[in-house]
Amino acid sequence: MAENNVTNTNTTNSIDNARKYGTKLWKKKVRKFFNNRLAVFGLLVVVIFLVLMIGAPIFTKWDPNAPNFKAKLVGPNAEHLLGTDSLGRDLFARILYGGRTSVLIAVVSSFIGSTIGTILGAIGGYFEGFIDKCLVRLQEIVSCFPQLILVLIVVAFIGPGTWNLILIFALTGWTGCFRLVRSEFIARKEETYVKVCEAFGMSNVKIMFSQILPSVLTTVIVQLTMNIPGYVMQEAGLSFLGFGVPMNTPTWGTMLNAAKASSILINNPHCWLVPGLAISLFVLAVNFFGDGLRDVMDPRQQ
Amino acid sequence: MEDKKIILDVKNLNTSFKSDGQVIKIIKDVSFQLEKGRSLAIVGESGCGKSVTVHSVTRLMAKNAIINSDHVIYRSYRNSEEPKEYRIDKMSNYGKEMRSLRGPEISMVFQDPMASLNPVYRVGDQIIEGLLEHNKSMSKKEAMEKAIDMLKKLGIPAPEQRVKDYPYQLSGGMKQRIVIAIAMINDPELIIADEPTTALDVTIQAQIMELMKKLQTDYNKSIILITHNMGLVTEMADDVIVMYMGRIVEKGSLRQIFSNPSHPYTKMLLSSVPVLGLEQGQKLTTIPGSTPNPADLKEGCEFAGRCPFCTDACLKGKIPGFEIEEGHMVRCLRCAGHKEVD
Amino acid sequence: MADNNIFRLENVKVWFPVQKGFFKKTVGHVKAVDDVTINVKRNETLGIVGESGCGKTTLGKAMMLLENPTGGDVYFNEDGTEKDITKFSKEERFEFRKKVQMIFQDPYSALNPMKKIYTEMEEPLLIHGYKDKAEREYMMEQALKLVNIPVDYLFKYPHEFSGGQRQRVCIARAMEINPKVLVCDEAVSALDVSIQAQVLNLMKDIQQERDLTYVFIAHDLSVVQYMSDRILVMYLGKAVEMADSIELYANTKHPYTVSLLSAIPVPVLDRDKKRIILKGDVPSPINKPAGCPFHERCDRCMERCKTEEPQLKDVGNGHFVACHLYE
Repeated sequence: MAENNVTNTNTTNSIDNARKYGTKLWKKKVRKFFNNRLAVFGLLVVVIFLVLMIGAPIFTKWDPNAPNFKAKLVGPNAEHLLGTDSLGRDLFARILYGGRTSVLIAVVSSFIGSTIGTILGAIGGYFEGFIDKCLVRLQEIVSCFPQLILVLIVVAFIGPGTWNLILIFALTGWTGCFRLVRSEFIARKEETYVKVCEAFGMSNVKIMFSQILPSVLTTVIVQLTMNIPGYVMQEAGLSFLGFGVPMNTPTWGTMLNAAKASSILINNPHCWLVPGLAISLFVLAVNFFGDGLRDVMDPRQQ
Repeated sequence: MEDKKIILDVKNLNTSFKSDGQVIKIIKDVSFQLEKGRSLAIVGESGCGKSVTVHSVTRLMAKNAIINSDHVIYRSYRNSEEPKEYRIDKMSNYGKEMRSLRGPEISMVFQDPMASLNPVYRVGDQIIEGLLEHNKSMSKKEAMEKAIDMLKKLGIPAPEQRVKDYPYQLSGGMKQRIVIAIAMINDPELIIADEPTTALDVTIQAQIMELMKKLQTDYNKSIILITHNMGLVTEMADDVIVMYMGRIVEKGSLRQIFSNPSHPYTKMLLSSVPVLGLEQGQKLTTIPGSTPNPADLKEGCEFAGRCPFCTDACLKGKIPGFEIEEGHMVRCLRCAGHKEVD
Repeated sequence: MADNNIFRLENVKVWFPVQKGFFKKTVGHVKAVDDVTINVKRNETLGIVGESGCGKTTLGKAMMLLENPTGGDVYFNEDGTEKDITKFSKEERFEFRKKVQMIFQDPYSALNPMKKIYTEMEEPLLIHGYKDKAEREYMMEQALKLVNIPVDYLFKYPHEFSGGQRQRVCIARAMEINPKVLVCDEAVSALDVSIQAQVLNLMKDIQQERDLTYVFIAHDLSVVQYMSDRILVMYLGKAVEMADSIELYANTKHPYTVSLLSAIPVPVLDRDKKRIILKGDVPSPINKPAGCPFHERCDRCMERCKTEEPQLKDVGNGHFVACHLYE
């Protein structure tokens, strides 16, 4: 009767042998991801962008900051693939080198923000009570505070800069992730498997980080990817207004800023079209990728 | 045969689900008839298709379901001796005809009373909703009076106050009574109860079952009871259908099934239930293995993999049903030699 | 006699405060478990039955230290000396966790969906200091053998299992560290009838093999009666009747137990027993009625029951009843 209870006919006896036949959920997820065309497109575009940015010196011979007064505002041609701006700087080179800063700001601030949010959210959600109340109030204060004012203050005191921007983004950007992780923790700590771990005498820290966090982490990773395009846009916006990165550092935002003169807007559309399209394409691609990632990673969809 | 009033006649009902490009048969060749004023219990374990069967009859199915049948006929004996026939199998799932049947003729009571009631409306409004839907000319006041009458009939104390309550103010047993009131408000002939007491405590279950029995005997309603509780079946049903993996394995009157269970599955199922007053040290019979995945099933008897009497013949073709007594059908080759009926 | 008890609960109370208003003023208590005094004998199965909200699960959790009693003492006696577990230090609690384990109701949420069975089963061993991997794997293998699950299943995820298999994995995980007591909270109520019988028989076998003590909590009296040596019936946080399971069935005393027994539908034809249908619902545990908690629904209620609360008293034969009728 004992043998009948088993639907699986593969009755191996050693654990080591069994290990080989175990379920590889990872493979299944990868396959599922690659069945989603939009997600694959997103991934492809993101990878192409990253390769171009990282290997920028290989793909372009131009210095993004070297002005060339002989070739001001020329349209796309064989020499300058995407044309030049009002100072004669090669736009393709600026897109590549500028993308480095833009994407760096977005990825790093999103990562730091998510980490802060996850840790605080885990603590608040798991322990609740007084600590949780303090954290929620803090979160409310931070979300209420207008980001632009904060940017202005920082710029006024220490001047614009890449790392200042990251700092501000991270300090204001953890709230969404905090709320998400906190509510997930509150819901999941009631699950029976958490009670089981308590009954085994597992410590609180271990329950939080090895039992509950892995299932929350997938949502966090998705949230993290979804935040990246937002930061790319914000950086562009702030730099366009002149509060972001210094004008001499090429980013997609400062490129747009440089193209804001009305004569350029009308006569040389490629100057703003190029960085604009780069932002749109990148944002769209990351969003598609994030969507696909969510479909695959969300444990509830299995 | 002619003088029997068959209210529901289902012949060769098949339901499949499409998922991931695969078609999985969930219900296979289910046929049964229900007489007016009787109660029929459909028993089986989870996944045996008992709920899908009645949902296929009432057409409350998801889009990916494919329902086929020779016929599904509902007969209304309401006004005269000459019944009015409805061919349910020819109607569209959510068409006007089908909707006019649901409520006034056939109504359903679901498992979880907490989930069956909308938490943001007063229960009185939820009861009269069905009434107003099918009687456009009725005023709200009239409808509310009828609702209060209905609650009185169902033995709910202080119905005038209860109709003003929100669901959260009521206990589980009271909620299920409200759900039954909603089902009964249009005076249907056939009530389908899908595990109506599974979410309730035993003492409350006894109250609800008493109420259902009263509806059947005092108002001559027909009831289909879906349950996995063998005890409830003996207390409620006149006829019993035992299902396993989407097929009827045994069908007969309550007495036939319980005093002479003939399919190995029915036998083992009955002896695997702990009964009060069992001797100390006595062991329950178990059915070895677990229910197979419907997608993996091949031809032959669905129960063959777990059956102690399985032979080679059981693994081939379609197993016919045999009538071992009048009205008692068993789908098992061990009964071969009796008249083949299905 | 006292040495024979592995658990002894004295006047255990578990109350949850009900808070209202802006300042979270405590306006009352949900008396989930109210003044319960019972004992659990070594190697027996004590069944606890009652309807939802009667406090049976909370009582089980109090015995597991998953819920801290508001009042009363819980004595645990594993090696001849009685210790009050409510006064345990952190280290003692940790040691206690090895001795008493729990099986939960819902096998679907008792396993972490993100982890393979191997990780799930390895964790308790890691916590309790089994450093050698080969030793851990041997123990896991033994535990799986106990519940008839092949080792292949270690490398699968919970969603690949049926309910019965999951429950057996849960039992294996609890049994790995060789506990002395297993508290089973509605361990089979989420399972199908045929699977339920498998798991019940399996649990009986394990009990014999490992000299276990079970505290078997369920709402289904027939299941409890099948499993238990003694049965405790609870109503509204109170113990109303406790007796040997055969005695309880043959010689039912408390009117609540009588109606509970008669309400259970039995799959036997022509049962001659008369059914008693209880009136009304279980009162709220916040505003319990004065006197006997059951008096509002009792058909043998006397004047005395409305004011005076009956205490659990021995009526002979190891049969305890809390009812004025038997005083």
